[in-house]
Amino acid sequence: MTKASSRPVKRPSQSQSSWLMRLLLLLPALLLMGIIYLAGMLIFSRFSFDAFEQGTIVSAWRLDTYKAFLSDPYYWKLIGSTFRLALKVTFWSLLLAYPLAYVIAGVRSSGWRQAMLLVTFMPLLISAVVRSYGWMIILSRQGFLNWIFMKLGLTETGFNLMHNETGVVIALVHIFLPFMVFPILSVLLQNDGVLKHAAHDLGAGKWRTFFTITFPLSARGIASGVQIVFTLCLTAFTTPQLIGGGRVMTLPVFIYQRTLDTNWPMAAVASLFLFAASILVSLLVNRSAEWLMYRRSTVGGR
Amino acid sequence: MRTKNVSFKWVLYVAAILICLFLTLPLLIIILTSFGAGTSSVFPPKGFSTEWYSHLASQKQFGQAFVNSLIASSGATLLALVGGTLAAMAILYYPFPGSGVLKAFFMSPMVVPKITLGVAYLILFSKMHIAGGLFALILGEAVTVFPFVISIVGSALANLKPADREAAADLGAKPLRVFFTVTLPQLKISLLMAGAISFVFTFDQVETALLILRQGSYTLPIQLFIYMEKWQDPTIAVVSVMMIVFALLLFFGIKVALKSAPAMEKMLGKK
Repeated sequence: MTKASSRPVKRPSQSQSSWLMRLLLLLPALLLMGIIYLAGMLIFSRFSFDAFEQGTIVSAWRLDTYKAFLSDPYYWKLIGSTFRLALKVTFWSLLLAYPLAYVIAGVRSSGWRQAMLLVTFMPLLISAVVRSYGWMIILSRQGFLNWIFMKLGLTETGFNLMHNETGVVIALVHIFLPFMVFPILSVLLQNDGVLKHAAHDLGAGKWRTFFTITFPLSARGIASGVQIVFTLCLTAFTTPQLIGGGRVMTLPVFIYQRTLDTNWPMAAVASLFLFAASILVSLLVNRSAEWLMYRRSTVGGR
Repeated sequence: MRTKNVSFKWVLYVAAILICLFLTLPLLIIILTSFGAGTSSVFPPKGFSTEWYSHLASQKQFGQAFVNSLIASSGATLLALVGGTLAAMAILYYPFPGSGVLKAFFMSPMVVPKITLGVAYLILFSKMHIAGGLFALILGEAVTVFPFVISIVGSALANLKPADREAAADLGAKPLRVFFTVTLPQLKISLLMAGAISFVFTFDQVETALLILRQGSYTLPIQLFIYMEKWQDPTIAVVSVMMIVFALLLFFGIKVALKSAPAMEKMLGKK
């Protein structure tokens, strides 16, 4: 009451109509997000407590599936390989994205810059299925790469590049590279040249300037790129399924297969684990980036 | 010292060009394969032919899938745009206790893995007895692109000057009229941006669509995905080329639309 009286005088009919307005405006969103998203996620989470016996789902409130998932070494191997794949892809994307972003940020001719931006970001518009197909005809035994290797005389019958982790890593790096370039490019474009010139005037060489000025200043961009690419990789399905051909097992592929087997409890548990893992990774990357930058700035201040 | 720097610069440029090549290589190989003769996707292709392009006309399922994709993406985009814009207005213009939490809730589908959402939709839609159809996909996709609309349109709304709205209201315009004559025209560009991003995003959706849809309602990526697991002939390359062309058209279409936005404003102003 006291709160209301301290505000400018408002007629009750007006505040009532604003509540009605609010409800009307929010109604479509609440219906969609409440029924499809929230209810969907809740029903789905409920299945994680059910049991799966002899091919049928038994309604229950048990933790059996959780226990099975977290105690069986097979699942830990699966989790391990999913993380290893994501780590490899993140490493290679960073290694390729940084020089590319650096060149794009430094190029003076606007025509070249436009062309490079188009090449970098156009793949985002093209379906992951199409891009995976492109890599299939490059990596397969009778594909483009093996054709080159055979011409060079490196191999007679061609290397096995598909249906294994190497192929999946190559294709995933291609698919997620734009997500790494974009944040790095945006911080590099924000850096002005003043600090670089100052370091240069103080006698720092090119390398020293890069490692003490440019690189630390782009740490923010690297951190968000790593965070995006790593979480996208953990949850990637299309490319591991198509390039891996069922022989590269990751959590999303496993979830898909369990769903097809109608083993919904196991699919639900694995999905919830994946969800938790991707959130945890995001938080961890963010925190460690902040910690690293804070430490740098205090050490540098001494 | 100087020569060293120059040579380092060249190493960097060569690396960048190689990386650009890496990015375009799959697309080039697909285009090359689509003009190949023979029944398998091998490199180098056995001779030049356009037989697979003419063959596509008889493969009715891909045309149907393209139409399905258009319906699903437009439906989901429209639903998210309408629901998202209204919700963003409610949160911004009529803040209430808990509106921050509500916004976080609306943004949260962004962090849920797509495969997780897909399994959740499959279970929910089977319970609702609408699994398998495009309507289910539209509802599911609208949820996944909802965060884009909330964040893009929401930040555009926050940047609008309230003076314009107040002026219209002082001149006696009802809230609905204020919305259609003042707010909506000012939001045009961000609505276009949010719509474009949502459309492209939903068009490329695999995980959710693969789990929900049944034969007959497949979207283009799903039809391609399923065809690919069975056959390897250049039909896939031809369809892929079509999809690349469509993506390019979409990209330049959006670019032109954004450039001609002031002209659009004039058109709307005259109305």
